[in-house]
Amino acid sequence: MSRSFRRYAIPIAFYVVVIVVWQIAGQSPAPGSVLVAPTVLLQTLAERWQALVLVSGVTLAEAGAGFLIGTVVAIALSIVVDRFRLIGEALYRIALVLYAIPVIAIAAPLTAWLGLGMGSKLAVAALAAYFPIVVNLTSAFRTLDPRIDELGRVLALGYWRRLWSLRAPAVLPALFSSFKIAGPAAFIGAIIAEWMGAEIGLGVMLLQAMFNFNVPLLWTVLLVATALNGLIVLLFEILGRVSVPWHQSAKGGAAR
Amino acid sequence: MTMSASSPASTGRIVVDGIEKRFPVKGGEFTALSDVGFSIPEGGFATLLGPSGCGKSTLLRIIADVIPPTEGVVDLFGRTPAQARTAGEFGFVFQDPVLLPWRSAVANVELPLQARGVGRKERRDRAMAMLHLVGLDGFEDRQPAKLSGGMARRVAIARALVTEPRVLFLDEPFNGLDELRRRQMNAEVQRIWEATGTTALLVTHNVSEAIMLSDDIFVMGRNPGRIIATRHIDLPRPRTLESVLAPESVELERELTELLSASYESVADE
Repeated sequence: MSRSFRRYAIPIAFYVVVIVVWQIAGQSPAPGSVLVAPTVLLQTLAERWQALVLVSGVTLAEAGAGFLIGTVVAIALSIVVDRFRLIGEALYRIALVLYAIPVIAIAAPLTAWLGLGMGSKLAVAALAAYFPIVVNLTSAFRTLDPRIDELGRVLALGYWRRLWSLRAPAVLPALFSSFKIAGPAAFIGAIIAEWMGAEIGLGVMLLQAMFNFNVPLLWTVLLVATALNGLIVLLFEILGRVSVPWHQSAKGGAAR
Repeated sequence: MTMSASSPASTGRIVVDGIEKRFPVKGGEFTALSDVGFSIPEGGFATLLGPSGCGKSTLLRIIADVIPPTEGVVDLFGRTPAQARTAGEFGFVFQDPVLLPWRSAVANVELPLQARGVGRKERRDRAMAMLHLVGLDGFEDRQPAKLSGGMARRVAIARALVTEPRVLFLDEPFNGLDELRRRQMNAEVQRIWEATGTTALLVTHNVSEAIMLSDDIFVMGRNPGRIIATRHIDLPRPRTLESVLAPESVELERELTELLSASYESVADE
């Protein structure tokens, strides 16, 4: 009882202290400071919540669709890399090089090419999302318990049967843990794409707040974006637990 | 691989002839197996008994067409290993159970049938019958993580046998079980083998396990892996703990243990 009390009480006390200090510092900011008191943030949140919900929805939709595209491409690519050694190796290298280009640098030409609409946002979000999935899945396939392949061989299963019945379920935990990186990456990708030019979205709102020197709104948008990012991670964490319940109790691919 | 060994005379037996396995290593080759040959009659129980590192598991994998030999021929009742494997004539029990953690016990046993396109109903019935045979009634819905080590191995044996394979490969299937459990499982394997009439090939380093189960024991030495002795076991079946403790089996156990120890020492001498 007292141990669990301390486990929660100490972090809570810490955050309370941080917020109180932040509040005091924010109420009487030094000239030119961008510090905004938490109460001001809450007030902005209350005043602008409808607009914030709308723009968040737009950005989340872009990120979500981009994430789906990125996931499909990544899974297909990982299977090609797994199935066809030579072509796969070459493709994998291209994927690596593509990812070496900073998202922000590739967002500009993509927006110029695909325009200010959804297309460019989806492309950037997908580009940001596919990579962690490809890397995780490919390495999961490569480090798979070799006995699983031996089992497939003894049972005389073809490649696709082996993939579907043995290997795909075995790499599912790796897929879900890659989603926890790819999800936020898609979200950030969508925001960056919006900076390059868009009508509406969290990124657009962020830029407008910055140019108008609306510091409270700037911080509020940041707060919302951070909260959404956290929720995305949480969503995939829960999804992973629900979808691969065996992973917690039986570690690894096929210990037993 | 030539078909020369599959002459009519060899049909009805598993014939292993002139098997050589070399692995490339830094600055040359490592000979894992050298000129290995033996034969097993259909329905027999043979054991490859040897110290760790003698290549007995490698040999088993060559016969089961999991890996290819560098040289030599394996003939399984007139078929090549590849033909027999793709015809679904093999059951294989690994060193660890290697159950799929996302499938229940019965679904794990169903896997080989599913792969052969057997219908849902028949699949379930045969898997349940097999679980009954290995003594796991009532455990069909357990997830592998919730099975004890001995139960998980029973499931693995049921999975290997559910297709009624012509050949059952057992690769140190009871490693990691305590001695009492191992003896229990040995008795079970003997009973199941007699009930199914399959030809069994066991790999082990446990001398009493080999005596308990085998018609023929092929003792292997190492560097390079090869057969150094062959023993035929005449004890009546079904064998029990008592028959394994009879004076002539104890004498055999002593002799085989000495052979094994000698092959360990020969490596220590180098």
